[in-house]
Amino acid sequence: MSLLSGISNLFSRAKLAQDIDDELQAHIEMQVSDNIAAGMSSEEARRDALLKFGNVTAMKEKVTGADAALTLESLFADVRYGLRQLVRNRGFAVIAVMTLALGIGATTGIFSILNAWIIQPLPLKDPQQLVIFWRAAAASPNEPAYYFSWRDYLYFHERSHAFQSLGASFERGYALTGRGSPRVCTVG
Amino acid sequence: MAKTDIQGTLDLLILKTLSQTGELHGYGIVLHIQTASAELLRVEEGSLYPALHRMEQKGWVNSQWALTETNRKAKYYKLTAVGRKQLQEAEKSFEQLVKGLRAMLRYA
Repeated sequence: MSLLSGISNLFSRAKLAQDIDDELQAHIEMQVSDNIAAGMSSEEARRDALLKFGNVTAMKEKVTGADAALTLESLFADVRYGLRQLVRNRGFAVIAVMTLALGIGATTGIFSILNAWIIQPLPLKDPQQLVIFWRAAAASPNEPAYYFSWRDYLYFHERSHAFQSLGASFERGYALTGRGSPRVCTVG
Repeated sequence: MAKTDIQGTLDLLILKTLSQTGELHGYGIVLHIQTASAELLRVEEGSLYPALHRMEQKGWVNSQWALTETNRKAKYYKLTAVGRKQLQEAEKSFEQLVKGLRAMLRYA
């Protein structure tokens, strides 16, 4: 098996499985046709064909196994061949390794920047300890209903010992006017 | 010494079938072995298909999808040059096995 077909084999597992499926199915269908030709009703013919054939799933696995065992063997052969070729063409090998190194390096660099900026969650030591509390109406306890006053906040700040620290925030929309049409601007 | 086991016998049956018929799908191979052996042998599908795929990997046979006489798609197998050589060896090896068995059974 050539290196190329070895690689394409890895990607076409699904196609291989489909191929085996089709092959076994064709076998059953031919048996059904012959059974019908021999005078069975179509239902009887199918039942007989499936009985003769046995467990389709188990057989699929056996056939796949016969393919896969040798695919692995030839994969090792391909790897050995590849290594020999690399030793033979030193220049190519060096360029290939450098290309890989640069590629991996650049990707890692970009990822670490993105990771720090976008992917990482809140810049807190223990984000799972962060809680928010509000005043709610009895009818809908899961939604904030009233603002705390500034005095309320000071009161909490002084007396509450349940939290390491407290902060207050509020959110309100303002109309921004000036040049062009006015926009709603949310402030927190 | 002959190295024919059950697996070897199955391979021999399949190789011989393909050399007698040229090109055949799995179902046809089962039927051919049944007919050609005067209904004495029946190859199990559960052994046939894994064997066919193993033999294809070894390069003894190759396969391609084609239409049957009744316009159905089926995978047809065909002997390669390596397969032909393998068949000769398997036949020789089998003859020896039979001779050996006969001798063994007649030994008194």
